[in-house]
Amino acid sequence: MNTSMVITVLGMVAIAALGISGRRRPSKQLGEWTVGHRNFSAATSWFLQAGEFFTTFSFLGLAGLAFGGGVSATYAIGYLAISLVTMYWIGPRTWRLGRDHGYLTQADFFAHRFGSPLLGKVVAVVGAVFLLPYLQLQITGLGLIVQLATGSHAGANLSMVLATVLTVGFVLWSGIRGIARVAYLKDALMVLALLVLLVAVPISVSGSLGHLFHTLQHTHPQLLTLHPPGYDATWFTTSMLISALGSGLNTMPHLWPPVLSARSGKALRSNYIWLPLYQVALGIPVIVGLAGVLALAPGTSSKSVLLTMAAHSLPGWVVGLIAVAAAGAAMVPSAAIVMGISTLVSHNLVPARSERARLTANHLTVVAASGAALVLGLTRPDLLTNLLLLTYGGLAQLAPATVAALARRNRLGATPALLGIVTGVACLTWLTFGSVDIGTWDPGLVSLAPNLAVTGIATLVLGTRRDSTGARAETAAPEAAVPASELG
Amino acid sequence: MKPKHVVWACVPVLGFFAAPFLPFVNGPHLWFGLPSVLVWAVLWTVGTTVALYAVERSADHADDAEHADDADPKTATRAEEAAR
Repeated sequence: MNTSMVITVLGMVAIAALGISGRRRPSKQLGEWTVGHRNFSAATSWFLQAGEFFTTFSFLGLAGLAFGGGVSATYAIGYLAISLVTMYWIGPRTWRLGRDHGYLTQADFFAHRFGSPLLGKVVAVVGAVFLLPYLQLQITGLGLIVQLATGSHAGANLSMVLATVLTVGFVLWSGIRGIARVAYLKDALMVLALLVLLVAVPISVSGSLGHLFHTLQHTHPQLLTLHPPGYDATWFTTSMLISALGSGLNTMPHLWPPVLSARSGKALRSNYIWLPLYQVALGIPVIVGLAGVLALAPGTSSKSVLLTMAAHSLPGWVVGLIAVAAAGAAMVPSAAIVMGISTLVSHNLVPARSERARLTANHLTVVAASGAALVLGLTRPDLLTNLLLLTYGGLAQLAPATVAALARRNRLGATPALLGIVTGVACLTWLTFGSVDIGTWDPGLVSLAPNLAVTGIATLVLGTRRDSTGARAETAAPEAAVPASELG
Repeated sequence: MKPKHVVWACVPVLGFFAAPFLPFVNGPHLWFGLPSVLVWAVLWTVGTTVALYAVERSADHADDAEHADDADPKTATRAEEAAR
């Protein structure tokens, strides 16, 4: 076992130990485990939300994207900032609805605001199914990180198993409080790692940051524009738009607990104001990816660019520390994703006679979902890859119904909303797997068109909602409100 | 919240989407030694914070006063207990 491997393993154990220390007392209720007592400070909410923005994609995907598509990778910086603009208004609104009606999940919101248990269950199924490949992506990403940092394939598999067991352990033990505590450490490590890379990589490749880009300007000018093949202006614009819609309307189910657990809408607004400054750090993987163009062979795997560059530029023990930061960037989102899946299943899909039975079902789902993602990651890493293609665009199909449900009076019926969602997901599946040529347009964005059309036509045929349960419940006293889970 | 606040918040959004259509940004240019597209993205990311800060300072957040018990989670606990 080399130095990098030792540091990586110790780092993962330290991350999990910190998560385990986050528990205050045993959670006897799913609500406490999922959203705490809805009293997280602005600082805790900050790290929970930031933790969801910085994932393995930040380390592996963004640098790889810049390696192949140049500065088009900056679409990620743009969409995250834009999503915070919409979340500035939507986050506090969602939080307030959640507090007043006891939401624990995104499906609760749909069931309540549309007065439709069926729609809530469909949203829960869609969310859980689409999140599973996203969970696997984090686990396999972690394995790749360890393999690249240590050069050991066996060590990578061992790390995937170890990280999954540790993550399941601290999630079950501490719930969202454990995730919040780990998010502090992960973000500190991540920012440190990115700053080290920002200094070390350009120096090792061409002497300085300025010289690096002057060289690129002469050798690969197209990569400094939004015109490279496959990543042109259309790709940039449509990818940024669909990602901003999906993220800005909070369509990913695992991103709901960080919002619902906040102490106040004001705390959330404060975070949305300042979080964009934090995202400036995402420019660093883009710079590392562009540096890779000068240092690596053209056929290099895009996912390996950042850590290969780190290995070229830094001593082994520093690479180990960067691998720990990257492992944290996989473990924290994994924890949030598995919590998202388990609450959707145990709270919205599985009937439970008592709170204790519900919590047991929840914990069993955590183990089952993590186990399934790990086994698939080890044995059939490509099996869920196709489904992953649908995750982002598929969940973005919830955007139109989300907008309608956030209105003070929801006039969209459950049936038109459901038909729109199903149509959007079906169209996306056809565009993704049917070899349909849509150029560099994002298929998720294209699928929103039939989604909206069907929603509109169904509304014309069936009429708008007259009996708006959501609007009525919203104006009632909290004590008299319709409990969301009774609807879901 | 007034329409002007929405307009302020939309300025950085338009800035991001304008990038591909502005020749002085979308070209093999370097600003301060960095790719112009990257610098543009970072500038508008900072601009997002400036715009939202301006909205926060000048907008009237009626919900904050209405929910002065924000720090008190009892309301949510009651709703969750009712749900159970």
